[in-house]
Amino acid sequence: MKQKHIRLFFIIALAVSTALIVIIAPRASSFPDGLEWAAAKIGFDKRATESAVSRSAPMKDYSAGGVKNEALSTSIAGVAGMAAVFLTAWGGALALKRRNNGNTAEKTSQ
Amino acid sequence: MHIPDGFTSMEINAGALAIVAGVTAIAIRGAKKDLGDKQAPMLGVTAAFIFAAQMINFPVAAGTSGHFLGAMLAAALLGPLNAFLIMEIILTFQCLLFSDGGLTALGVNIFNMGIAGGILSYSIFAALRAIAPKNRAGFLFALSAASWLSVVLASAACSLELSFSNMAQLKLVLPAIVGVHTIIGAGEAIITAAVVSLVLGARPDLVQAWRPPASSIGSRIEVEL
Repeated sequence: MKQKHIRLFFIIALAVSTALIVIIAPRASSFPDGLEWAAAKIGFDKRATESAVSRSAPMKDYSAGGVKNEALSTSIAGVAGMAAVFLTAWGGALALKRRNNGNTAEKTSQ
Repeated sequence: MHIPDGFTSMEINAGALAIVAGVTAIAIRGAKKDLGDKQAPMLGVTAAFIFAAQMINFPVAAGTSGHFLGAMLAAALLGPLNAFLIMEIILTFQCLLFSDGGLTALGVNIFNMGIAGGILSYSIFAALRAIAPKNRAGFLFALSAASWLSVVLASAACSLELSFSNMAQLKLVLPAIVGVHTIIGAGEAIITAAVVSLVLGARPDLVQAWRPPASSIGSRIEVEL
């Protein structure tokens, strides 16, 4: 019962996160952020450069390449990024945990 | 406040990266030792939520916008070192996939948002928690104040780095950047307190920073069972 509950909690949290990206993110404010604004005001905004990695980022500025619809493009890029972050954090934590009590836990799971 | 390439000097970038690498090693060692059964998926879900919420830029003042940071939310749910790892993962993907924050400034961005806005702010939360009333309101008050401070501290660190990198004079850049972030911090405090109260209502055992007050032994036992 408890196990079911916590799974439900995680599913709801992920659903809310997905909804934030799909429904709200495309309508988010496109004003410059505090740093960009201050840089432009003080006059060092032009000194921003771009490393090769940034230039070739696959979903630059949160847009999925090839998708014409801007809102859809943002949503797809956002969900892809969220999935990457989710799997890395979960998988990483799982790997660390397993390495710690691996000898006992791994054998019993069989 | 994701710093792009070109704004911070090599020395600042390298120094921040060294500190971040050291803290990462400590955080990984801590995670190996302490991660409980529920925490591995919780780490993933918290990271996913923070990433999603960071995409929502809200208008702040005079044509600027800001978004949620989430370091204090993660720290309240999972402790400051796990929160640091979460911020590190989010910022790394934002940099590599979306070009949000420069690669050369990645260490600086992780320092600002994971250490100044995360670990340091959490220690202030812990101090506030010790003097605040030992109930839910006191807990949420300490959390809100520390969440506001986390955004302000991260933006202050950003201003200092820009000034050390000779990008702008501190007396100009500090009030400009921190000024905007004192307003963004209010949003941070509201969102963090709201999300943590929701989790406290549903699953108080998932809020690591929440220790039931000593007077309510009954609810504590219930939580632990």
